[in-house]
Amino acid sequence: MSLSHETMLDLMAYADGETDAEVSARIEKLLDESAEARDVVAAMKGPVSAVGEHIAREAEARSVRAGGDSIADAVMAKIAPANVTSLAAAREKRDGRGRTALVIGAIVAIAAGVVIYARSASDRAPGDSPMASMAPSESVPAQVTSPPAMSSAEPLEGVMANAEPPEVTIKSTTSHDVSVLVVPAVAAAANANGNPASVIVWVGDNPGGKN
Amino acid sequence: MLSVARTRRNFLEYALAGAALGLVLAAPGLVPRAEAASAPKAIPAELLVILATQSDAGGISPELAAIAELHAGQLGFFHSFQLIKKETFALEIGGSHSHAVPDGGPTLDVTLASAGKDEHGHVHYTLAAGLTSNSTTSTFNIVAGPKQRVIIGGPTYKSGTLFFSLRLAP
Repeated sequence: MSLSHETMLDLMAYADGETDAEVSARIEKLLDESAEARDVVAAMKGPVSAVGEHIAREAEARSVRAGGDSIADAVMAKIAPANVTSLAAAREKRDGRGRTALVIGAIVAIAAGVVIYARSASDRAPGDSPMASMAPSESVPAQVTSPPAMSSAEPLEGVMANAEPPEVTIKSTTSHDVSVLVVPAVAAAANANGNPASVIVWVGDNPGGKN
Repeated sequence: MLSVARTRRNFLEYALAGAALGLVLAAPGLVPRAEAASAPKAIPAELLVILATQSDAGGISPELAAIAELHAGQLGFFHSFQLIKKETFALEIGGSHSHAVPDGGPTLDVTLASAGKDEHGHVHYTLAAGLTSNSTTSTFNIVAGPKQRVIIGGPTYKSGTLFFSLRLAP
């Protein structure tokens, strides 16, 4: 290659039509004299320019088909609608989940309230009376099974106060023979006030129970 | 990340709302505990110490004639009921009353653990062994209403069997 670097730059500028009159005159004179210079200019204006023009035309055509005038519009047009979620729909869906969580939370809270109420009610003494109590001092004892009721007392008419017998719990015993006998409430003829339910705890003199 | 934080915040709000609702619903069950202060601090009590035998000789003490529980049912095989001791006292909450049967008999201790405003009482009973070789010791928790009789018996004493009768608000 006999052309200098500066000459090559001038030839490329000439091929792009970017040279002023003075440089153009000098290049045209060089083109008359040098076949190599003519080949360079021809190469610059030939295939390369054709490819560039093709790309430009294709881009313009795509833009027109897309109905937009920007690359952003073309890109957005390529995005599949199925992949886009509506913001309003997403908010509505999220709020729906929130309402479901609120309903579940309310149900759980109601259940907790019922359980607490039931447990607090079961802690009270018979007759549903509030109790003033001393500090608990011992562990929960074993519960005694209900004894058979005494049968010889003759119940009369009338509803007795304290019809429920006393509640008995054996905490510890060294006796082998412990029984709890429930005496139901009766309105005894000899007693104008009747007899409320009572209980008899029998503790036999027979060691062998457990503490 | 923003949505996760929002979801957590919403969950916390719902949890707090649920807890508050639970407290509101549970309040009726908790109120009676607060009313416990209105319950009595002491309940009058009556203790009878009774010796029962199968002999017809002793008969029935006049003070015991109205106690139907002694004359019928499972205790019907005793023919004699003699009142050894009668005590009336005020049983305070947390307070105790003890009675030791003389001549080597057992000892009964009663402690009022709690009381309701209608004079229901939760009483701890301890029947301690006496000096007889076969004596036993037992502890009971008994909840009884006013005038309800709790009879604890069985220890052999002299020629018969001992019974303790306790009534609250007799």
